Amino acid sequence: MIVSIFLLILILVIMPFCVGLVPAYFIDRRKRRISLVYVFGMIVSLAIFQLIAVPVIINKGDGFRLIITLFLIITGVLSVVGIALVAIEVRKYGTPINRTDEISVPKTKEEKIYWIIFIALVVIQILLSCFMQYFDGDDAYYVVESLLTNETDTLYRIKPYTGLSTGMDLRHAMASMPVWIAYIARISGIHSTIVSHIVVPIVMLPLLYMIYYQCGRILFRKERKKLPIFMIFVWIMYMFGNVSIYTNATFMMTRTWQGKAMLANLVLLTVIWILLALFETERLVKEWRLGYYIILFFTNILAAMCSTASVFLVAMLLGLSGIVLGIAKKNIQIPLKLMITCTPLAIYGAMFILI
Amino acid sequence: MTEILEIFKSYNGTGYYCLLFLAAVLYLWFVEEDRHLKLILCVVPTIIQVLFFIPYFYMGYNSLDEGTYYRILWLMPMTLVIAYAACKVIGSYTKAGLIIVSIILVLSGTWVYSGINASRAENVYHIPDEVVEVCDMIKPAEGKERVWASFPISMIHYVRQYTTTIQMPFGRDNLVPGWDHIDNPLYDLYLQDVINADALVSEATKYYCNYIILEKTQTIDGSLEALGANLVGTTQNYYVYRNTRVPFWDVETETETEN
Repeated sequence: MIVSIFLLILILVIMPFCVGLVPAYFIDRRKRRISLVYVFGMIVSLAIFQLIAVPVIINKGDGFRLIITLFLIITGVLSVVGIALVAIEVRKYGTPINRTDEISVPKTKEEKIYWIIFIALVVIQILLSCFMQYFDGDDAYYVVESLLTNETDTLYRIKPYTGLSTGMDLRHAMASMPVWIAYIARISGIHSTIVSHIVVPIVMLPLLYMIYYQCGRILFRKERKKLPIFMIFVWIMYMFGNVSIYTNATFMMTRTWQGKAMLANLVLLTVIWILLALFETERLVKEWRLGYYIILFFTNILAAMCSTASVFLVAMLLGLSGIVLGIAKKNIQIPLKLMITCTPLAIYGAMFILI
Repeated sequence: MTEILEIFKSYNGTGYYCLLFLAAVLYLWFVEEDRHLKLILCVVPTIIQVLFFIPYFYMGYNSLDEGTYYRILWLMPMTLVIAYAACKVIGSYTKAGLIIVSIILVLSGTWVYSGINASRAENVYHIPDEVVEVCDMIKPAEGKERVWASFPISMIHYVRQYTTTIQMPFGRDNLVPGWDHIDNPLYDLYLQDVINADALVSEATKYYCNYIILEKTQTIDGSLEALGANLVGTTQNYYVYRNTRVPFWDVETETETEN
């Protein structure tokens, strides 16, 4: 059990963080924070998994081990590169970050209390996700697909509902989230269903709040003490967002492990955050935008990993935002740059339509 | 248009977050001074909201992915906009504002673990204990061939989440009308108020089921034991029968090899 927990920390915390150091190198040092590097790392790691997994799924029905090997090699190399980049910056500046950000002044007592309340609420939320169960019919597909992959090494060649052999279900196969969960299960030695229902929420809920935190830092750069209050409001809307089975909050809280939930919450929120960050950067140092465009590109690959059909949603959000921003700022480069980041969506979308 | 309104109503369900979102967007239209924020948090969501109600847009979306039109509403960052606007509304009255807004948000929503689908987790798998109990009775030993078993409707979502060494003649796809599946007479039998024992064992044998699982509340017309299905276990709500007409796959293969 201790070994499993250590391995989980290694593949879900340490490695993504080290991977995140690479794209973080391309953003302003004043904007670098542990949470930001981790969010970057998770996005890039998941996108890399998707890039490896889909070709293997299509070409090699029993290629699960190959996916794991390739993924570990690539993320391992990126982790080393990330650490090396930090070492270079430490040698150059003495520190990899620059704490002159306006939001990094000491917190007031009131602010600290709000943060403690918020962190306690998130801990309660995570505990509830572990000790409460929610029936969702789609688990009969997605959770079983992860278990099948881990138990049989096969990729989308067995029907999850019954166990009969079947032709490859390419529509589902192009969204490799269940295979990623199987990868966590294989490395940690924990049953895939436990990984889906317990481990994934423990990782994804804090990740969600980290992305809201990045948004909040931009929105409240002049009123920092409101940031924890903002986070508490967000928490309430997730815990009380079950007004119907369709809302993004319901998806996040009741089927966190399904790609659709990640798309509705993590991916779309990341897109909004990057749109906010790009223009905050515009006010500050223009040359630091590249890191955000890189992350947006990887976020679009992650979108395809979550749900093949939903690549249209992300493309629509980016397209619409690009047009609006381009017109408002009389700058054709904005929609064009955003369009370039949508290349993965165009490829997956075309595959989806052709299939 | 009626269909779109229905989807919108279904999405917003029992809560008032949609109204709060509209109020928040309206508020930010007037008070947000930062032009970039206004574009991303007010203008883009407003356009999405307008597009959502255009029938041609609905038809276009449906041609790509039918039945998931509500997902367009995911593109509006409701949580972010409401929380941001609320923080602006409370101004410097942070303590009182936090309490009042929190109460409004709680009363406007629905607790995530309310409803019949939520319950206290019975085990680490988050599936019912009885499913685990039944699966442990019938799953093959390590290294042995997989077994086939027919389960009542109440169990079929869960069985293969616990172990894929148990295969089933019908699954969740049979439950959903309109989904692509092959009609299964064994599934039809499970739907009947009174199940004919002879038909059940015959169909289970036809689908190579080594085991037949029945709910205790299901009425059986006839004796399963007389037809070669022996009761090998029970749980609080289920009977587990071993269908002796179907040998285990590896036992059968071993016998053939010996012959």
